[in-house]
Amino acid sequence: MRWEHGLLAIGFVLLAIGHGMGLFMAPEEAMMREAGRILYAHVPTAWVALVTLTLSFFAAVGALWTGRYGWDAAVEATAETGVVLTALLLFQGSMWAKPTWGYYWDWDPRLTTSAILLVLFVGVLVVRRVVSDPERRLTVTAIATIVAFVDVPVVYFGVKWWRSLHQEWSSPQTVDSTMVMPLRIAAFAMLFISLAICVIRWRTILATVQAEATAPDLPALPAELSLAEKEV
Amino acid sequence: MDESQVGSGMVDGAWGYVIVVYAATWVVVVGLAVRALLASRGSGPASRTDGGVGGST
Amino acid sequence: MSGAHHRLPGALRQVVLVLKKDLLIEWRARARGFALASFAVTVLLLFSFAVGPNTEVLRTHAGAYLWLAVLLSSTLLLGQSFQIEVEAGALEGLVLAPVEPAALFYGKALSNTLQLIGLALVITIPMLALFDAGLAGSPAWYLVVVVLGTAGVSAPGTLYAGLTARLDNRQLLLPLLLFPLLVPCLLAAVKATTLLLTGDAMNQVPSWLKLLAAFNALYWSVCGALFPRVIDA
Repeated sequence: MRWEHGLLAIGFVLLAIGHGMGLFMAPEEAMMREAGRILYAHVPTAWVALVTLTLSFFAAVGALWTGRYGWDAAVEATAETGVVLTALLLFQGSMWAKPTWGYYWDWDPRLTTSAILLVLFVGVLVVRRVVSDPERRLTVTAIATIVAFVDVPVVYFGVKWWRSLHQEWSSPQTVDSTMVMPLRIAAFAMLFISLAICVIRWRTILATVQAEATAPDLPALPAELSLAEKEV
Repeated sequence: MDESQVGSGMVDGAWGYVIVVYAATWVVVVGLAVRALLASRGSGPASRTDGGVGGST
Repeated sequence: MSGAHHRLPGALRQVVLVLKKDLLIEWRARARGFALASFAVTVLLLFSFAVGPNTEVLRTHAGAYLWLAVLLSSTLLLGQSFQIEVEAGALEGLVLAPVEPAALFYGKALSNTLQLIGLALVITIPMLALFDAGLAGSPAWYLVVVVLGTAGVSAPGTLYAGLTARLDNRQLLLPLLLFPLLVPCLLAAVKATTLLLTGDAMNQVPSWLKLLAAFNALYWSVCGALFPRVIDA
């Protein structure tokens, strides 16, 4: 039992509470009626997906800066979790859009940005699979992650201008405390679960990467490569 | 599902979508956790060092 | 010739040298340039066939087809810009030579931009003819859109071409990584081009040019900073 297992368990308990409250206790949304309940699952997923992918950006900066495999493993763990959460987010979004807007897909800035974010990070994970040399893989993954992540604000504003006629659906004025509680609980639940999963994945990936690199925990300087080969 | 909550408003019959969304969320989250835990068991400390020695030869 | 070069500061002189080297290589292999232009024109033709002989629709989307043709051709062009050097083992030579890696990037990115500008201008004529489009805006603004749009493709494109140059499946990886990244650039370039072709009643072109400029500023700086690590890897 490590601490992240406890965090994972707490997360699942909180998620059950938050979702239960959202499903059965929260008042029905005036405009969206039952469909409004989707937001208690959807909005926390959106926050956590963005948090996870933001973490992978910082991990990529760390990996490129230090050359340490700890950061490299963190990039993969967070990117992988973030990609799955973003895919879930898009599915939830289209399931929310169908009863409210009448169609599954809309070129809403947030929806479109999430879709592009998903494709960008799938690209990062694919290119990571292709490179077998651990040191080169660290660099390639980190660069692809940084280049992909800095695109996010530009994509968002670009799509926003492109679809400038579209209505915004966030409605803080209709959110009262009975709606905030389940939302907040579910958000912390998703955060705990995602962080725990990232940490579990991080340990596994780090073990694999360090086994692949013959010299564990060496800084990834090109000069050290020859040293690592001499040990064999 | 919960018939008493279904009103006569515009967005009726959305319970199906609500259930699908919550089910998908749980499937994905539990799936991620189980996959992570299974993989972490597979590369436990013992097999990790074995893999490291084996890989360096 | 070399006298003029010596007056430039060191880094800039290196950029110009790399640019001249790349353009010379491309000029010597200009048959490839012809092939690329014919490919781009073929793409334009394909769009007309896919859409059907509906002049109205084709005219409205002429800008979109132009930029998609440029985008599809760009992966072939970008891939080549490192292929020659990787195959000849010349990249190691360039790294060992006293050339700043950043200068190598800016030289290559400028060379790719110039080639893409040429390609875009060359296929502009068949685009105008095939889709019965006319230029409602000024040619100078059209040139600005072409320059900013192709520059936006070539900065991340050159970085990713270098990143994937020594990998297997690079023909697949380059567009997979590059295309989603280029969404804002494509969006702005298509919108601005379409407005220049069909008329810009609301004066929206400047705001799209601003987005293109922001995209370029971001990627010409970020990619230039990251490229030295690509070469080391």
